[in-house]
Amino acid sequence: MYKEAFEASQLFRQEERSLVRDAVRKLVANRLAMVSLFVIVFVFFVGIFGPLLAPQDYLEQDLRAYNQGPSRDHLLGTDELGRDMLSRLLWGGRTAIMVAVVSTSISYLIGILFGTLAAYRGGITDAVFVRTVDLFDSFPHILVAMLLASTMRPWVQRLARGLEEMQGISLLADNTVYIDYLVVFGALSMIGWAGIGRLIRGQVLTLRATDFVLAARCVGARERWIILRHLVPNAIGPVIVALSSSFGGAMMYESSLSFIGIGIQPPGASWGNMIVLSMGQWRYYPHLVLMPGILLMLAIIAFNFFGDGLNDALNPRALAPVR
Amino acid sequence: MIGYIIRRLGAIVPTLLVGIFIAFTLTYFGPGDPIRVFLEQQGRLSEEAYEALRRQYGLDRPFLVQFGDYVTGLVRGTFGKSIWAGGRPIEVMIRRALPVSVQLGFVAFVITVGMGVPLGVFAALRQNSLVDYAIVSASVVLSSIPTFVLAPMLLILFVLVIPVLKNPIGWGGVFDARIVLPAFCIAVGPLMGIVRQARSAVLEVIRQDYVRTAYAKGLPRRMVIWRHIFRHILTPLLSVGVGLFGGILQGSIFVERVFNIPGYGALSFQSFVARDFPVILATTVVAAVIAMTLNLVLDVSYGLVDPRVRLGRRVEEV
Repeated sequence: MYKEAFEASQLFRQEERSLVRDAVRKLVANRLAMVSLFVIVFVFFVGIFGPLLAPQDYLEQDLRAYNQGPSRDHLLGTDELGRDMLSRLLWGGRTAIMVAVVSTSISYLIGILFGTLAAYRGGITDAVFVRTVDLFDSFPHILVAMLLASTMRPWVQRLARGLEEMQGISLLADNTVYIDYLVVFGALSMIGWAGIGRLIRGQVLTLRATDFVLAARCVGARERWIILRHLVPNAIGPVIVALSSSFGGAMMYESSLSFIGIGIQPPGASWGNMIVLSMGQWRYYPHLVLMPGILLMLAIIAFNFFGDGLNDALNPRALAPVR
Repeated sequence: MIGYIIRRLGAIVPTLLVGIFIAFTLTYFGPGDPIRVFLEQQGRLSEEAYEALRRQYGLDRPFLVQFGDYVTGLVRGTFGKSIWAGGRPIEVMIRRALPVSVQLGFVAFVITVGMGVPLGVFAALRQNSLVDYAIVSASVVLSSIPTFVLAPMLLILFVLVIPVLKNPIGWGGVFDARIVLPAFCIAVGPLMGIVRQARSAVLEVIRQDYVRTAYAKGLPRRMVIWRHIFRHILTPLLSVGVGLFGGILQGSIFVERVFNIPGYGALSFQSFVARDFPVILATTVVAAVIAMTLNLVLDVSYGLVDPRVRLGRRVEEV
């Protein structure tokens, strides 16, 4: 009899569902997002292992073999100074990924921390926070990044020189690329945090009034506990969704700064400064401009599409983008 | 309405002052001593020349006094002197460059709105169809390409691959054929935002009762779209405005460099390349002033388009 009942119940059995499982299924069904994920994994692979795979030293110049097309020695040819394009592209990928990950992490940490604190405390903290975010938003972001990158560099250089004299730690050895990294991280974090802070503040404002936060307060939970255990985990959903397109945005800003010459500077490799280096001779060697350009473009497109896919999978009610 | 404008203006001035103060501080303390750098580059560094130039540029006085002078100068419309361009007044450089960029930016604006809004409306009217999918994806792709990648790609395409253009570089005014490529490159950047906003605004409106009523009383589809739907997506579309300005500015910085157009973006670009901090500061401040003014104009026009805003309710609540 139990057996029959069990079999009967199987007829009405529904598949187990959960938000995450539904989201994953939706995401997998989204072909564009899956292709993008593939590209993203590839870009991360290049960022992590690329420099190990680079066939040659990306700094080594061969002035007898400049602007060459593909050959056995240089699989993708050489640039204006005879440096191996493939190796430089791989190192440029490292730069792009590193900047995207580090600067996005910093700006998310700052944004989440300040946004939650402001919404939870309210009053003057909140007022100061809102004013600051408004101030940041009223200046065009690209100009803020450019201003910060160009004014911070001498500071960082002085700091590095001081470190070298005091401790013997050398950041300036053969390549100033570490200084460039610090400058770009700083500039990009400063323009990224405000949007995230605003987003999470809105989330926390609604959460703050909920019963479970009140309950936590009633049993005497400390502010830090409430923020870290109750508010942040519950508010972080939309922020995670924004992560993918933030990576894309950070790559875009990094290459923009490097294109202007205030981000990653030669001889360091960045897709942005590779484009500007070869820009002067686009008529004669278009492939030198196209290779870093197309890589950069594909990476940013993939991050944006995947971000859209995530958004649709996790916010089924949102009207905004398709599928 | 007038009270509202005055209140908003009252809020802008302190924000702008704080912003200018931060930017001034950054460019003042950041780069080290510009006079020393300049003289070293010229190879005529001596204590007398150094002191004389410092006095000439007013750099020997206390920091706050200099800031005060700078702001007073701004109010009078002077921005100081360019170091790189041999002491030329910056306001002259800006006055020469800005009209070029305004024209270019306006053409880009017309292209991006003229493309983005109809595409967004079209996509929404065919929600979840292949057309919708294609429009939204294409706008994401176009907007994801950095301007300084798109510009050389278009150049290579139209000069080398399909040789239809001989020399697309330079500036000849709005009615010159050379404006097409740069304007398109700028227009494509903010396109995604506009398409999305228009699309979601239409989707929002299309579900309203009055649209159903309009259909029910037998209005033809074209009339419903023009009379009822189009008018109501204006307000949400206005919110793209400031982002649109940022996008056009960002685009023009790179496009003017690539296409060799003597505009504001090129001036800004050049000042960063040359580490000409007075010009860097001035171009940033002017861009911020324009952005804030546009913001104000947009907020006021919210009130004109949507009477509910005029009654003192904030846009988010409406």
